[in-house]
Amino acid sequence: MSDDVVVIRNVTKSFRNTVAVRDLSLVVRRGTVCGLLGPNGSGKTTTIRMILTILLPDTGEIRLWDRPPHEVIRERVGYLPEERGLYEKMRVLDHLVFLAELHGVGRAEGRRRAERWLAEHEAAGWAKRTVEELSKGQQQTLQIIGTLLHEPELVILDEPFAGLDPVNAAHLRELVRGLRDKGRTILLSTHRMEQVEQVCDDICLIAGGEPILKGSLRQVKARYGRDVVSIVMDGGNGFLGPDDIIAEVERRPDAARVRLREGADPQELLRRALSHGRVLRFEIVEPSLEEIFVEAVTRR
Amino acid sequence: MRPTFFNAVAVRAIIRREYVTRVRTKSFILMTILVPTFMAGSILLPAVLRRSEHPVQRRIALADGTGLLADSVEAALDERLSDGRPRYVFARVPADSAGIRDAEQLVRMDAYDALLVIPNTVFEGGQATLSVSGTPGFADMRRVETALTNQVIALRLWREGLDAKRVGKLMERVRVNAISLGSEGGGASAQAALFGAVVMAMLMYMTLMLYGGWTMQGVLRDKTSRVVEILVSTTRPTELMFGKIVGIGSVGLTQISIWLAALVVAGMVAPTSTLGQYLDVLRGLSLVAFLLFYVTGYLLFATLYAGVGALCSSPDDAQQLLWPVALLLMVPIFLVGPAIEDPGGRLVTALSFVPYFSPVLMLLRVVTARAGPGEVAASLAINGATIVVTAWLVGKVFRVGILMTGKRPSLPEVWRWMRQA
Repeated sequence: MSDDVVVIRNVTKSFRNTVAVRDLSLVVRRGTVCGLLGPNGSGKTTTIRMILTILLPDTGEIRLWDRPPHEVIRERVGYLPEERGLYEKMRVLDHLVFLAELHGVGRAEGRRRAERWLAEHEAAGWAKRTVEELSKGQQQTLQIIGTLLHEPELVILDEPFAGLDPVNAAHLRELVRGLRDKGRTILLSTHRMEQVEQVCDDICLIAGGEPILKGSLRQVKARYGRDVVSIVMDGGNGFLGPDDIIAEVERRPDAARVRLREGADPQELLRRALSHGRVLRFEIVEPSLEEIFVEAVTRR
Repeated sequence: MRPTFFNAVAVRAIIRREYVTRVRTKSFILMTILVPTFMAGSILLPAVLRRSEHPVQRRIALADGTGLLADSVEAALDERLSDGRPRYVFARVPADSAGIRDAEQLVRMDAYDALLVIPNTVFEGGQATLSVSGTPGFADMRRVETALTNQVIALRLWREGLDAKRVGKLMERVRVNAISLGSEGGGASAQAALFGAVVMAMLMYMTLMLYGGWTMQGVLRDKTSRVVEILVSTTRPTELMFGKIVGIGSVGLTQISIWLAALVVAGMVAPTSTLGQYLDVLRGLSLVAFLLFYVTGYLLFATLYAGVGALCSSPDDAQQLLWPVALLLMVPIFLVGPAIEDPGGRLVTALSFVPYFSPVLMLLRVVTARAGPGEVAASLAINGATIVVTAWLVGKVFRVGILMTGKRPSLPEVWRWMRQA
């Protein structure tokens, strides 16, 4: 059996006059965390909705485990929508059982699993409370539990970090890593690049509905990594500016971040710096995803 | 390919959720209790009030200016209270001005309840007076007036040389007691049957409107709370629609069954009471017909309401789209009047076969014993076919509309969905 869980081939989707997703192809491998990145309105949610057959692509094809999605979604996929939806008046335990049943888990089994999950999240006390009595963060946890109760092999999280405080965000990252370690496949979308760097194996950057960069995080970083230098000088660094080897300079309080022109040698920059004064630190750094993203978009 | 055609576990979960969350609410329990209480009250209260009229004896001072009428008026008013005591006790007082003044004083002191003064001109049209301390009781006034009138007429007749008794016999009123000879309610009085018909029609209208509205609100709530995305990714829209309609409809069926059971029990506990007589017509075929027409009527309207819910994003939005549905529901209610006046009329008969009107109109005809089982079956079959067609059409609209937020689609757009989906 192929290791490809999600395969998207040349998918395009338009709404009236706007193209939401243009010619997107993407493969999510089994046991990996894939991040779908892009600013708001870039087509992430539309892509996810197409995978879940909530929307149908205009052209192109989507397959899950090499089968049409609608045959496998209910039992093998867990989905956390971007806009959280829970019935406010329902009791927490009833709600979890209901979500499990929607995914084809029997009532008794759903109840057992829900109680176990609540206990694991130190939330056993919630069971009899109604959803509206929980805090926003607790509701978020509840919804994530509901997404996982039927033990899906593929978990799709649309903007899972939105609205989470740092502590809960860390919990969620841990949860995602834990799922991957158990062999599950995770596809998550976010516009917060720093979250992606901490959990994703693969990434796909999209902007304006078009894929502009994809591959494993390491590859992407390596590809862009050689040409950024962090430099700290004793004295002014005013000599740094766009020239034959420097493409761009960003002055930060701690250091200047210099992006070199393609093919330029960092050693040449070091030589020039030394000729202008004492160099306290000189480091070839990995660019942040944000920098990569901005560059990829502007380069296009 | 595995059979994903109908996901029983998920649909059952949706049905159960819709049912349980609603049946548990306080408003459901309150309504279940209050509606029959209110209805029983509105039927029983007048009867109870009538029966509890005049539990006390009245003392009446009688000043007879003619000297001829006192005995016969007293005899005419010789009625008994429920405890066997005479209703009226009379005291003769002199008919001169002093006597009347004294008697009036005694009425003011509540020694007498009333003073009846009969002037000697009474045979020529003179007016008698009944003086009381407070407001005169309407029923007492009428009784006294009737008794006095009868005696005066009798005397006038006697003076003309006629025998009052014979004249009375010749002029005796004819009493009309309307009895329905319909298939079911045998000897039940037609008045009771009409009453039962109106009650049932109103009950049907109320429940169809209420539970139909609930399906719309349910769909809207799914949309506004965004639960719909999870629902749609795990169930097909038609399954979702089916689950919602069946779940909410079962709530209605539960409530109605409780109400009808209460009515039947009330009828059995007190078969001879006023309520019991009225309820007699609500048995047998009528009850079965009510349940059948509720189920088909609910399915007819709930499908439309669910479609409206799927097309709109807010209750305000829905108001505008709702009026055609509300109109369908109201037309038969406007026809309840004509239908009651002439249950066998051609218009009512014809319209009672029209799908959206039949739950009320055919039911009326069943209760008034104007429609037999054959007609009921035909009407139900028409309803069934309509349900299948509308569910199919609305299902298509539902599929596209359920995920839409924001602007409501135009009618041409909806038409396109119906053809495409």
